[in-house]
Amino acid sequence: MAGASGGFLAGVNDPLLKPRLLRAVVAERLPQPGGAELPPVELASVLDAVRTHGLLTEALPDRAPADPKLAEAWRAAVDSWVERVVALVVSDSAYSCWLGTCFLGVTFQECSNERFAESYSNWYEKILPNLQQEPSTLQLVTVISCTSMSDLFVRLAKFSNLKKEASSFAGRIIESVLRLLNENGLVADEAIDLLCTVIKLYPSSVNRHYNKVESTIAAKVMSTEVNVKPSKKFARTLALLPSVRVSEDGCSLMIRRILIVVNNLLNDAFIGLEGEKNGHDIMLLLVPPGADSPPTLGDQVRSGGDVHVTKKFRVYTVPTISALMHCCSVMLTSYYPVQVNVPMRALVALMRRVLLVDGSLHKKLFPSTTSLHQELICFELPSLHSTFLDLLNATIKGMRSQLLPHGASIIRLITEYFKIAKLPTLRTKAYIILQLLLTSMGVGTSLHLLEAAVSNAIADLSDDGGSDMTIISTNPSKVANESSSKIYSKKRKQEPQVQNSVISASEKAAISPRKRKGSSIQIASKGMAPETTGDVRISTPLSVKIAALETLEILLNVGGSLQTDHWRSEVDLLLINVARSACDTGRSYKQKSSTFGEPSISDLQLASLKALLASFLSSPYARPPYLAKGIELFAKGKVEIGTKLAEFCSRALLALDVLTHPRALSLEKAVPVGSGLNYSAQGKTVFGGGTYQMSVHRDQPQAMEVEDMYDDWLASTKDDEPAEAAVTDSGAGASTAGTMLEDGRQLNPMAEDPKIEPPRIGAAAQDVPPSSKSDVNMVDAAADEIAKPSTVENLSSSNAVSAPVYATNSDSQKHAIPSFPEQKCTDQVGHLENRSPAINVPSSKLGTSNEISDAPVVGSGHQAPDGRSTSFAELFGSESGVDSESDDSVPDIVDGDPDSD
Amino acid sequence: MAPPPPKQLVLAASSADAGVAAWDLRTGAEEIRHRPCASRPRALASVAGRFLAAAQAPPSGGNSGTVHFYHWDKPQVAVKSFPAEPIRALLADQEGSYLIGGGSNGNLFLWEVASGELLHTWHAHYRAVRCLALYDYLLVSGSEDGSIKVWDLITVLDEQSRLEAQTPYLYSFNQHALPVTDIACFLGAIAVSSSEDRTCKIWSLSKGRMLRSIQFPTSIDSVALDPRSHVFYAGGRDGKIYVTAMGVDISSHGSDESSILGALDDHSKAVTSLVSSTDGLLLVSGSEDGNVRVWDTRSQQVTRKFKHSQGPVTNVLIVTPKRVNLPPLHPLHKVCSANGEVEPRSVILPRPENDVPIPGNRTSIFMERYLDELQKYGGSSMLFDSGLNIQNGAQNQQGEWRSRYLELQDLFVHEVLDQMPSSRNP
Repeated sequence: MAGASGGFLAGVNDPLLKPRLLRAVVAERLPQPGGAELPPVELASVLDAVRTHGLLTEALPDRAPADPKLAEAWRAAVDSWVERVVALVVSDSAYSCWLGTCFLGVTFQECSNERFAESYSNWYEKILPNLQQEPSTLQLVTVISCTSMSDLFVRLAKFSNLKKEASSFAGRIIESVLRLLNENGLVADEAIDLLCTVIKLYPSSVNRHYNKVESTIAAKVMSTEVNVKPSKKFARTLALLPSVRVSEDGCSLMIRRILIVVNNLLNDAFIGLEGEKNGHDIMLLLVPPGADSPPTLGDQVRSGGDVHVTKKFRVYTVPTISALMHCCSVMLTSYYPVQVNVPMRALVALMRRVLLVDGSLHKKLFPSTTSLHQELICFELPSLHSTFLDLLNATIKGMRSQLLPHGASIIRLITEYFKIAKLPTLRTKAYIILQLLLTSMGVGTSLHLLEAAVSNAIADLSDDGGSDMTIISTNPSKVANESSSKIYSKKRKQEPQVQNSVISASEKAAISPRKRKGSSIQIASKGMAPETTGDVRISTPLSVKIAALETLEILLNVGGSLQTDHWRSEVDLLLINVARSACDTGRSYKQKSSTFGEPSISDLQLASLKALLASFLSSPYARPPYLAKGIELFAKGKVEIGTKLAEFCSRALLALDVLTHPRALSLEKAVPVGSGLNYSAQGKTVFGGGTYQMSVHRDQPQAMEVEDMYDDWLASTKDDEPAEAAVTDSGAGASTAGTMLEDGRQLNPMAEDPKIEPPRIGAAAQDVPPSSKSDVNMVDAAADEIAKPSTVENLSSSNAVSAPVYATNSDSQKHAIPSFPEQKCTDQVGHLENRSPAINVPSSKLGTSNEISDAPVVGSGHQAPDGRSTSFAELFGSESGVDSESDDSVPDIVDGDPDSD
Repeated sequence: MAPPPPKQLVLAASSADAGVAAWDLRTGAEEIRHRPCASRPRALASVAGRFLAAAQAPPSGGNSGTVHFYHWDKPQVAVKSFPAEPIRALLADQEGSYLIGGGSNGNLFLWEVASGELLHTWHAHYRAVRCLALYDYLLVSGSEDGSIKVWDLITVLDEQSRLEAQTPYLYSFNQHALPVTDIACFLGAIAVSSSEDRTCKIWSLSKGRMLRSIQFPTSIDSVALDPRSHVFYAGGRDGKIYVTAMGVDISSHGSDESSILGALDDHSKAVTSLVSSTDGLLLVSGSEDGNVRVWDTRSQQVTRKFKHSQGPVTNVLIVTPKRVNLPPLHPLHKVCSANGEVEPRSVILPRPENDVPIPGNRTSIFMERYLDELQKYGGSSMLFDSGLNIQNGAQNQQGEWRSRYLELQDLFVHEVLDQMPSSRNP
């Protein structure tokens, strides 16, 4: 209509376009007050037009000469827009009112500063009645009024000269907002957002209503009807309240009051599951004897008394606790203009109280405890734990260096918690806390967390060596083989966790149940993994693996060179294997991303490569042992253009460039010869990038052999596989024995490799430290005992598997090493090859039976990977399994490494 | 008065009672002089830029020490504390949560700044503690008896961990033959110590061993690391500042001389303290000749010279004073509170309020989402279809919005149906 006249434009950027467009929008597309409803498409396009073209901005182009005509036209157009919108707002028709309020909200964001400063009070008055009306109004109108009102305040906050007016405006809506809080979900949801905005922007305006606000919010948080998400919002708002009355005590008082409420709720919940005194002790920390207890939070709330006892937990106790803890977390992580005291000791005690409850009954059984009660608690325990892990997370973040005096107790707590944390989400969160602790407190923490981080991460990751590749195959025997080896390797590391001797022999016979049983018992987190027949994923969930990898990465970053002899070689090897298998998996099949938000295999790849880079960069050796292979992985990853992986890989290669082409000599080079021996030898093992077991070699001659061996290994993979398996054995034996059987171990690969010259081996053999012998002896005794039954159980063919194992292990200190018969080994290999088809089933059985019979047992444990890999190689090696096979045997070797002096 | 945040001050204290002088690094003007203060080397510490702490040398013959706190803008002492023994070395952690003092009897003290509480004190060395350094929460203490010990503060502060630990310290290094005068820590858990035995030694805190020892022609009283970590500066008793390479050329190993790259030579007496600016371009040195010099490390020239006093300068610092709402300072307690009766006061330190993120543009977001939802079901007419069946959309990432709008939709339907049947019903 009117907008159409006025001649041609200079183009899309002609400022004259805007007033014209706006006039057209007002005239043709905005409905009249009380007019008919517009289709949503139309509304969306109006909104889009206004925002895309900035129709309401009245921003005249800078460079153009002032054009009074343009300014005037635009002003008039915006005037008419505002006029129409306001008319809509005040209209009787609810729809018009709703629409008008929507567009008024848009106007708040879009209009020019001058216009806003001029008209905000007018607009405020227009919206206010909709908030103040009794609930009889259309709730949608109330909702949108809250939203626009909060936009008004956000915009208003940018005008520092209007602060006073704004504050009084804010004060006027508080009462209405509080009333709206009690309305149904959606309205309350918007109202709480508005309240939150107001408290943040104009805390002083709330001062007058403080008590009422607090009690209303507390009542909502602790009520039974609010569902989780809005209750988090309520909790956040509650956390903002201390900023209303800024004082040193405000926040700390609020935290204490919350902790008291939570502690009391827990007293109820944990009856019979913990010591009697726990709650009382925490109370003493919160309210020191003699001090007045602070006013109870939400005292007028009837604490969920009207809910049936079976539901009370689910609908009242746990949601309330989690909302209150969320509130605490927010308070701990916000900044305050004053110093805020935090009752850390009580906080830590409370976290300890919750996190260490594992649902088992306390020694002193309370008469009131019923199995139903226990069941109900166990049902809710994961969410309680999750809440408190979040709180711990927030505590670490918020307290920063102040955590130091409590550092050790938190470290103990999280270390203990790892034994309880079995569900993937909880385990992931626990890992994240490890990461936070490591980063926040630095290298000192890694001393304390080293063991927990490494053992748990290895347990979670070590089923990864190649397993992901075979997961796609549904061949049961293959999977079973895989799983048995995984379980086996885990077992050695997590001996304390193993309690599965109850599994009967009959269960072992059936392959797939055994697989599940074994895996779920070994690593509790697996229990949650979906194990439908279609989805053969039996390993630790990806999210846990990623968290474990990230933890290792941070550990390496922070304390990578700390006490390296105990753990580095194992971790390095694990990381290269995980990275290899992750990358191979990613390439070999496209994983359907099951649901959005869940980590995919590419996340695992990224995490594993990141950890690998950290392992290279923090390596104590002049050249990291698996550098070549790692560079290959990075180079491959770099090709995946456009992904995060590629981005990271190119960065990683850049970082490694310094390592591969040193520009300055490192400090270690100048180390006095004695202690530096290890490192100089290491420098020579560089070629052995692929022969992982060489990393631990201390002796130069051996190290020199690596190259040969690697080539050979690559050239005839299949033939060498049994040899690999044998390596695995001895390595494993050493690790479990916790001794330094290193040289004996190294011997095996050498001996089995035909290219290696015997004299060197002999020399190496003599290197076996005498101290290790006794340890080995002990272990052997145990090994013999346990292993015998399992040998018997196996068919004759399996003897071929088990017998040599004994030789390599138990005899290592007696005759095997001094005169290690090369002959014997090759015999062994031949044996295995010949028999392997027959071996297949028994050997897998063997593996699992060992695992089940007793984890710490060395001798029997050995046989599992041995038998497994042999059969595996024979059956599948010629097809797809070659790579995975080598991958697989590698983690087993890792295990031996930490003991390498 | 109150320097604006970017202003960097050079602070210098003397063992003679000449106060702590503060010069503006850029203009060279003396800003303020805090009095009284007479500090021995390593006894001046800036507590995270919030305030200044200086352990006082005991009066001659006296066996009691004091620690003074000064506010940046007030010349007089703000708070005086009286620790159990004279404090030789004083150190604050990076965030200013703790003050660590090394006593003249070889004890170490760890105070919490917020409350003044003495969290722990323990016997560390046979003789006086001369210098302290922190790497994360590893504390490195050097003593007059020539020993260096590394303490893990997490262990030190926890009773149970202390009992479990085999030794109270993490490492103990005894390679220095004479008193250790200064220690500096750097990235990668590297520590450099200087000693009166005319050596500097480089240590790896993670491996727990000495990496190198560098022989100097004179006793070294102070070290400072270049932030780029390739060189460090060693202040000699002969008045020279030796520029020393951290690494060494492998081809010439054995001869430590090769690692001394050069010397900054302008002081007439021993260089007692050194500090490097964070960008590594400036080096500030304090000497017994009573002067403080600012060096340009690239040209190796003196760019500024401050006259402190007649007495020897013992401490220099470069600080960027932070103006924060400082809670009242508490004096440091003399003894540990009885078996943890008083809870260590963990505090959230005040911080300049960063802008609270407040979601704006909510109306338009609201509308967009809302309209999206509506469009998905073919326009508004669907709203009035009471049998509207809400499908599970695939857009999980919009979960929160989605649930809200499903709710909204329901609400809309009911509202409209209930209240405006005449006008709105199709």
